[in-house]
Amino acid sequence: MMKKFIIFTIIAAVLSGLFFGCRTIQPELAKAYSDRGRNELIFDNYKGAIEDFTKAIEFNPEDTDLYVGRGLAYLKNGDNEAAKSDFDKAISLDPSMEKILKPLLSPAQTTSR
Amino acid sequence: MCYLKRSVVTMFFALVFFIFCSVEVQAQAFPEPNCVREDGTPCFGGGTGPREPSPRPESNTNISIRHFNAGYEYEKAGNWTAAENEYRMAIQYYPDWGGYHFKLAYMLEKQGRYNEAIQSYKQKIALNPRDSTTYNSIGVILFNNLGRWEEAEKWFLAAHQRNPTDSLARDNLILTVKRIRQKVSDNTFNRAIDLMEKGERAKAESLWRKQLLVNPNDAGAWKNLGVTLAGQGRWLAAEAALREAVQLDPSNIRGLRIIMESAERGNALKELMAANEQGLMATKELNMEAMRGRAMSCFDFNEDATKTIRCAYSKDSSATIAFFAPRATSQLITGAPPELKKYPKFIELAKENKRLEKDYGEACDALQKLLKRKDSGQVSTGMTDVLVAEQKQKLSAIKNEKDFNEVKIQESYVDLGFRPPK
Repeated sequence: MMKKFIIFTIIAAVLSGLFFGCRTIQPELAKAYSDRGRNELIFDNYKGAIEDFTKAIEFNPEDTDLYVGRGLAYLKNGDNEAAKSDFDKAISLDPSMEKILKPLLSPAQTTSR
Repeated sequence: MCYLKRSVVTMFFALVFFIFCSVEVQAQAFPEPNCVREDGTPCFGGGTGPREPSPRPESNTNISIRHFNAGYEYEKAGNWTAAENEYRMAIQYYPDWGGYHFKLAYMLEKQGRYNEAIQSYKQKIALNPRDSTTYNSIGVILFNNLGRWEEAEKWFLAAHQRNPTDSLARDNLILTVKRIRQKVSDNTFNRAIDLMEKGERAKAESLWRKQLLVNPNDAGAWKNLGVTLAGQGRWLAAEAALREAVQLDPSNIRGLRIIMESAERGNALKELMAANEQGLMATKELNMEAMRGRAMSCFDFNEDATKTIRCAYSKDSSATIAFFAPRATSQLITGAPPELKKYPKFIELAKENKRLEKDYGEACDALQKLLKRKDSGQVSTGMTDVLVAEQKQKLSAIKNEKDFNEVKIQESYVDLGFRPPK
């Protein structure tokens, strides 16, 4: 009797784990937030952009563009360390981004006269 | 890891359920006495003694159910006030059942008492914090009835977090995020119109350009950008912008014709030539304007001073690359007299120039890669446009810095009594 109960419990645990899943990717939600984050970035609301891209990343953590967007927002907001971290993540997901993103982090970025 | 956590939690609940069942079984094994023998000792079932009379008063639970049922009948009949009263009574007798609070909130919502409804929904949440429906309901009131979209978004998000499979909450969240985004765009549009009316054309232009970066297919923004540019006498760029507007919405053809037929139109080339005479920077600026308008005026530069100007309408991104191609300035350094090459200030500036050229080369390379990426349509969320704008801005910054550095180098020539080369 006890043995049956334990087997039943294990099966129930495995099935519930499979059913509920851990973190489901929600591309539509990610896009809604990333589109708005992009707007915030364009209209110079960097904090809003960071928040939106962060939410978008929660819903789709494998999208390179989301790290690029948040990295840009961090960069514009003066947080170079966070920007670098996001750009590094973007590069790890898509190595072809290295030559595109690397120049943005160079010091000449801020020295416009 | 997460699956493991969930499995452990599920096993815990299963264990609790098991213990609960055991207790239940024990309770059945030792039932409550339900009769009393003649000698006063308790007995079970078919005892011989007389049964105790059982005139039980109606329990609070039953009273609450009665009020709830009455409320439901009123609700079906559309009598929200009476239903509200019944649901309130039900809550009075059984305040711990979330469903009563939900029903009361719904009745208050029906009567337009939105803030009270939200409070009732919150009470429901206090009793059932995992129920996504209630979070969603609060979001709906805030969004539809109170116009507090930002707050609504938080509630929809909370609903989604509690139940990611709740498609209603998810769709509401997406809709809200999109609407808020649109609202920002609409506000920008109106702000830009205000600035145009006040004659603050440069500021208006900047907003139109941002608006177009957000939505390159906004015919109205293209048209207004054209008008703003025309107001500043920048006819070429104005014409380019209006061409875009016409392409998206042919009804703008009249505006384009006005620009083209304008007497000022004839001055456009003169304007460009004059800028050219004044030096490369001015021309660059003009070219930037034309290209920002996505008309991508194609200009051919030759190395020394841009004698030839060829203007055509094209969306070819290679025009942008051509525009940003690095300009040779090494003559100032390599052709410097030997005495100057030993001058510490010159040495420092030459070093700086080298660094800037390297940065510029890298940024140009990055821009080229980006434009190729854009042409191939690799990017889904439109970050390429933002990155292109960013890289262009960076290139301009480096160019400016390089120009400034060149002026300093020329000054160092003068310091030692040499005449800098042109």
